[in-house]
Amino acid sequence: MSKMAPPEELMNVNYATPAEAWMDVKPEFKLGNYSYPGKPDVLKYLGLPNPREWNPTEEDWKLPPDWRDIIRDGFRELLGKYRSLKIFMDCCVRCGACADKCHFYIGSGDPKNMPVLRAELLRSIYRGEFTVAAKILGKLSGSRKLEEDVIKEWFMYFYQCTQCRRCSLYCPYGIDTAEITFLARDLMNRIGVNINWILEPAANCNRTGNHLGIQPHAFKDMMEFLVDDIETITGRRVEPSFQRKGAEILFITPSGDIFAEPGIYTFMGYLLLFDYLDLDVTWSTYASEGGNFGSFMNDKWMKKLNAKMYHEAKRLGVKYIIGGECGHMWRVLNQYMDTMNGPADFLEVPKSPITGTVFNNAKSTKMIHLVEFTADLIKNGKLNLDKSRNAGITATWHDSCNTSRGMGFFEEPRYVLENVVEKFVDMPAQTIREQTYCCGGGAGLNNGEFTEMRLRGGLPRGNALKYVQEKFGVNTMSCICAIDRATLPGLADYWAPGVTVTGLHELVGNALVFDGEEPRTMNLRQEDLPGIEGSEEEE
Amino acid sequence: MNTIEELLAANREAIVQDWYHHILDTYPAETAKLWKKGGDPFANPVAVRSRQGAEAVVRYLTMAEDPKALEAVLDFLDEMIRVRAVQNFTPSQAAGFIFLLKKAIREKLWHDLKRLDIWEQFAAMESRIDGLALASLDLYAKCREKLHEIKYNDLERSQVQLLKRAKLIVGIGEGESA
Ligand code: SF4
Ligand code: SF4
Repeated sequence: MSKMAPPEELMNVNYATPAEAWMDVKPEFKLGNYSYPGKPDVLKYLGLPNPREWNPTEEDWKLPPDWRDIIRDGFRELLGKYRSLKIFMDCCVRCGACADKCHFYIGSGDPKNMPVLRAELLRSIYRGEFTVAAKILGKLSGSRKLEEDVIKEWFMYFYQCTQCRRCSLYCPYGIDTAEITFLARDLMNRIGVNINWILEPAANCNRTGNHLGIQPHAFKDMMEFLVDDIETITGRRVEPSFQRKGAEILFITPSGDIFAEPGIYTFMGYLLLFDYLDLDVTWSTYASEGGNFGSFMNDKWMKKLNAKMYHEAKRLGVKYIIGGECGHMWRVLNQYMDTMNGPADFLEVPKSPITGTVFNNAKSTKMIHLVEFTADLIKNGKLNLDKSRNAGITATWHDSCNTSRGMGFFEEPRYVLENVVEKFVDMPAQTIREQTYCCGGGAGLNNGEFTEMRLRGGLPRGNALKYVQEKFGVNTMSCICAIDRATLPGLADYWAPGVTVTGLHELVGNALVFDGEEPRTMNLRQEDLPGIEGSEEEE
Repeated sequence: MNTIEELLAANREAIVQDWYHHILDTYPAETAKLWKKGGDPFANPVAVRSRQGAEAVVRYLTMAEDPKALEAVLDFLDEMIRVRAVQNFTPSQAAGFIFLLKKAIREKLWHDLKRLDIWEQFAAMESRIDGLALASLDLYAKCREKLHEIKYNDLERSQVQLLKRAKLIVGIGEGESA
């Protein structure tokens, strides 16, 4: 045997990976495993420090000369400001309960994606710079000094966390790694280490009202296209209004719904529903973004971008706000909005004009999610729904991290879904509801250059999806989050090819039967309905 | 026991286990240790897919060549390669884990092979494994093609209305007929 080359040599893999301590393994940046850095112009616009051209694959990241002081001072400031941060830094017992719960870890096997180690990237500096133990024990206490490599590691791994909070569910102390990521990104922003896919949408949102920088007239035009499509499909001409003062409700949805597939079909669903109810609702081209990329930067920008919703509601004099199918919009709303920009005393507690239901859960924020509004309509028998218009669909439900784990929407979306499709099956219990797996695209990681990493992080979700696809013939995955709608089609195409991704109100829009309507021959995607002439499935 | 297939069948479990461990050892040490514990397919999909794939391939090799069986075994390989294709491996590392099976077989069966002097059969068996390795390379390439197709489709989906607005695209039926 000794004369033969051992087979592993062919593979050129050193499969007895040297057991280096994690602190000594340096991150390797290569195209495809990081998100592009923030562009200087965008940083300048946002008033962020250290605008420059830089490249993570190069040795010199052009940090400001006093970057160490900036980080130290910033860390001290955040520790003083957020008691939670100090607790999170102090109380982890490294029990490992969270270690294998992160989708990025499950998909990559990279130990630094274990939530406990992700947090340790920050904690080791906390120990090294702020605690007495480090002075005596040094590295033995798990502490280290601030070096440029530490910043590089932060950039690699805190932009490889979608702030989905799955790990925190399993931590006996409730340590929330998402919050740690949030604050680590805040620190990095202070020395100009950030990613463009977060900064540019935030800048656009500040300037034009939405992430893509769509100006009001263009926004209106795109809405017109969808109104035309609705007319082609249903024969009805819906008439949405913009900035209409005195309307009862202001509706705000992520802008992805107006320009991207498959969000546009959900957008059409909203328009049809409002028309069906003759709801006194208005849209705004200024508050035209439900999402909040500021929340992926720091608290200042999260607050500023979020404030626009209340400002516009006040300016228009509406009674309350309904928000569309968005994920992290609801994280911001549910966790921070009330104390950050509220209480919105100038608004009224949301009350459905159709059913009379008062949404006391939104007593203070005065803003409800469309899915609870719609679930209430169905519960009260206010919608005439024909499931057969979604015939052929066997649906499953993807719980978006923010709306499910973040705020507990488990039943409402399933209730709506079950009322509009003939067949619905859940994915395995350990992959849904509060234990749901992230799509891999949250917290600003849904950019083009990060696709491979996102697919890696999407393995656990894709794996569960494939299971129900094979076992129960699931062919559609529905969700209530715009980042999901952008991310999941690719995820499904890779891990469970053949599964279509839809928003919930797309399916509602399909099923909604208007009084005296023209019979529909196609769905909102302008595909022939099964059983209708021209349909291939009937042959 | 005279054929290599019989020999392999008799040692199947041990060889599957060794190969499976070699595969997991292509990951960092902490992860290999954790993943070898196996567990729930939805909590530890990489380990479970690797295990199922290893079992399927070895079972396939204990049987005579059969195109139908080959197809089924390629599906299992696809499950494993689909994962490895997006895991920061070089192409040879992503698709080449199949060669680690040779290592597992040689280590386990060397003495028996010597005793029975069935080197011809052994060479044939290794050639079958080489065949699977080449097929794995095809599967890897398909996964990478898929990745790029997804990037392209994502881009297109995210622009659809904007292109329409910019009058850069016009739908069929929006002008004179042909
Ligand atoms: S918040 Fe989500 S992405 Fe971040 S470490 Fe926890 S499980 Fe992983
Ligand atoms: S579960 Fe909590 S205490 Fe245990 S290692 Fe993770 S963060 Fe630390």
